[in-house]
Amino acid sequence: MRNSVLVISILALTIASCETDSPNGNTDSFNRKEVVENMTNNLILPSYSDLNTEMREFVGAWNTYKTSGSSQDLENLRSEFEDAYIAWQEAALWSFGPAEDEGLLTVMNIYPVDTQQVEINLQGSFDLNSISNFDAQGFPALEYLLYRDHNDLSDANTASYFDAVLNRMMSKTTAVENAWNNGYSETFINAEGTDRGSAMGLLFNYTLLPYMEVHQREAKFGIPGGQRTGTAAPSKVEARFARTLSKELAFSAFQSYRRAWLGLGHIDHNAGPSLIDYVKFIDDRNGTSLSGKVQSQLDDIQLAIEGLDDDFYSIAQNDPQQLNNVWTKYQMLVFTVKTEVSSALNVTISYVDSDGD
Amino acid sequence: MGYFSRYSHLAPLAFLRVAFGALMFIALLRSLLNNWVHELYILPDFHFSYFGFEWVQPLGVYTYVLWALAMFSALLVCVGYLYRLSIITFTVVFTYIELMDVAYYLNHYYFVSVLAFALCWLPAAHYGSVDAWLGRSKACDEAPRWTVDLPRVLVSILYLFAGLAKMNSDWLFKAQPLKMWLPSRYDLPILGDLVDEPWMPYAFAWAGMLYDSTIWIFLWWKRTRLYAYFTVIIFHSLTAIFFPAIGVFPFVMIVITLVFFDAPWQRMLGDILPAAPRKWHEWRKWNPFGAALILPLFVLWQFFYPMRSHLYKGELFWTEEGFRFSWRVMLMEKSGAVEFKVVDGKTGRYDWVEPSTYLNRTQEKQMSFQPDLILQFAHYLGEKYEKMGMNDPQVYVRSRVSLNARPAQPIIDEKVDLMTVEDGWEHKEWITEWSDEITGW
Repeated sequence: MRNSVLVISILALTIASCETDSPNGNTDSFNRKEVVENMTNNLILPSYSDLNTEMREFVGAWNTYKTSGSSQDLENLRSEFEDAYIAWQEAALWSFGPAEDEGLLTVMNIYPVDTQQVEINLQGSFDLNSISNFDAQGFPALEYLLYRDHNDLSDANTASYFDAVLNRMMSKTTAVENAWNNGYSETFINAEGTDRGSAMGLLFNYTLLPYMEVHQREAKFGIPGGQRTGTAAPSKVEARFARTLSKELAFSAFQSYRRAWLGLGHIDHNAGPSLIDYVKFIDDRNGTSLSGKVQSQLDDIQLAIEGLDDDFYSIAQNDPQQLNNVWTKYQMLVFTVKTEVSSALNVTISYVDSDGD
Repeated sequence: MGYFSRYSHLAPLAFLRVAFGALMFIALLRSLLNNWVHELYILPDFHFSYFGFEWVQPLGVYTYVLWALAMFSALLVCVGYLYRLSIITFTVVFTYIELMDVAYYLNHYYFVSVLAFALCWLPAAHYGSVDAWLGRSKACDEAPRWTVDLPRVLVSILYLFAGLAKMNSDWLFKAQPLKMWLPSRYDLPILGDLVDEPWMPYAFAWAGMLYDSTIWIFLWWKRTRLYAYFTVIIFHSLTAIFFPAIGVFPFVMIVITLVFFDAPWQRMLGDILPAAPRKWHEWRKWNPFGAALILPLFVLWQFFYPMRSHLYKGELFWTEEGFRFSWRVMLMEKSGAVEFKVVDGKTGRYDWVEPSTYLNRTQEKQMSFQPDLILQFAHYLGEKYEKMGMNDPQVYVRSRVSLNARPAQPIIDEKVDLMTVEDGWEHKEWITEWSDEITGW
């Protein structure tokens, strides 16, 4: 017995040392690094660069409108606002690393907006860093200013608040993009393994689960639909003032999430090495069909969102069950990811010792 | 009873005492430096209890006092000063720490308690200790042979059951869960290139089973002992490399198994800390009060308690009835997701609760697939909502659990109001039946 172990170990070491001479010779193995490289180069970086471009155009449109005050420039400003908001939805899922360090999400999109707090801030001084102002800034606050009934953007206080909120968003966006371009990409790509700090670990412990659960399933559908308590909350929908924007935002966010699974490029939507390829590789070994399950659950969510009207506010008022139905589709995916995918990828979720469950 | 009148040299036991004390000090220091005392015991609102030990709770910021006591007594055990007092203190405090939250259960913590309990009854400080050196206690070179053999028996029982546990169809013929675990270690130098090889999980599974179920035999047998010990080093080093999450366990086993040796180098301790001359005898009897009754019962307990799972129906890996305290280590991959619906018994109003609101990630992960922990948390929620003014709260659970790469299925009957269920020793009818089968031990 002891000899067999010794033989196996020695054999293993011998084979391993031969193996290292021909790095690409092993057809059985799966190159996880290519997945992360594709994710970084074709999804993450382009989505941040897109967000930066759209934000700059938004700032430009605001500056134009500030000087002219014309209704045509206001229309243009609203349209640039929408483009930037959508670009944000497509970058929001990378909630780890620089985005977490900069607190990007809090600056960009906490909703529902505290309109009372915004009105107070419009009276004069404010500190956007303070906790009470976390839900008085970002896209939701600007949306309120752009679409509220008595909108008067020319008022000096309003304009300076708009300025402050928008500049903060712009500078955080730039900071995050710069961090990715100045070293974090390499750090991320080279963080191999499946520990909490590895690229796989970060994607799993931020993007694939908590982001999807909290910022898509709950925030966009469950909370306004009243899924948890049985009481709908129309005032909590995203884009409550722009109204018809809700669906497009939710759909963009979901599409970006779906592309993260399938490795589809942000710009051309071309397929590259993906997480789903890796799940498929594990499927082949285990005799499971997990990759198909994940893809069909993603499709179910897509269909459910596509079936909704544009205006979530009126859906939440008239037939909140429609939002809860989308929640249910998300929940199916959450179950699969938390159980079977979590086992298959064997990513570390907690950081304490365990002896194998 | 010839065996019980035989004597043997105490050096292996004294060596065990030194190694055990030092290892425990290091393990506790490690958890302290990782800030686990704060994160695992002080921060969470709720702690999962062992059945019958609900009164064992963390002591808030005074939990650090427990760590201080355990670490200090571990050092005293190591050097053998005030030995009886320090080993009893260590056993009590360490076991208390272990009992504070079952979500952090590890087989090797249980082994520490078991071994520490045994050491309370053994003359481990009669040789190579500060007590002997100062003449604080009677010293001797030899003691009844059983006192040196008892720790060896405990280690053997651990290996035997760990080996038996691996004799099941998933482990041996499907190479699960190793098939899922090994590929995730692709980043290892040299070995990482091998993890995707299809034969690797099978080789590891069979080697692991053979190792655990037989290594103790080769450790007892003098002719094979040295080779067996090399195998111990290789095996546990590999597990440490492939499964870093098991923490200090591999090192504990590598050091503790040295107790099987009866070698001159262990007697070094007697040179470093020689006994005070007038307190020394070549040999001494050893029969502390109660040992003749307690220790046989203790050994029988060690032998039979791990087998209690066979009294329950249903798949053990699924229900986990009799899973703990039975040396089932690194044996299955289970992951789950669970949600709780708290319903007002009068108005029918309800609230779906995310466990993460109250639990840390380790607690949540461990609870999500262990039925008795799900039940405990359901009761916690029910009682909490009652205090907040809800009438006759009912708690229902929606769960999905995947075991060894099978499709996830509910583990708790969704129609059962868990507030009407109490935990106990009998089979839990509110656990669903598993749709597959694993055969074997």
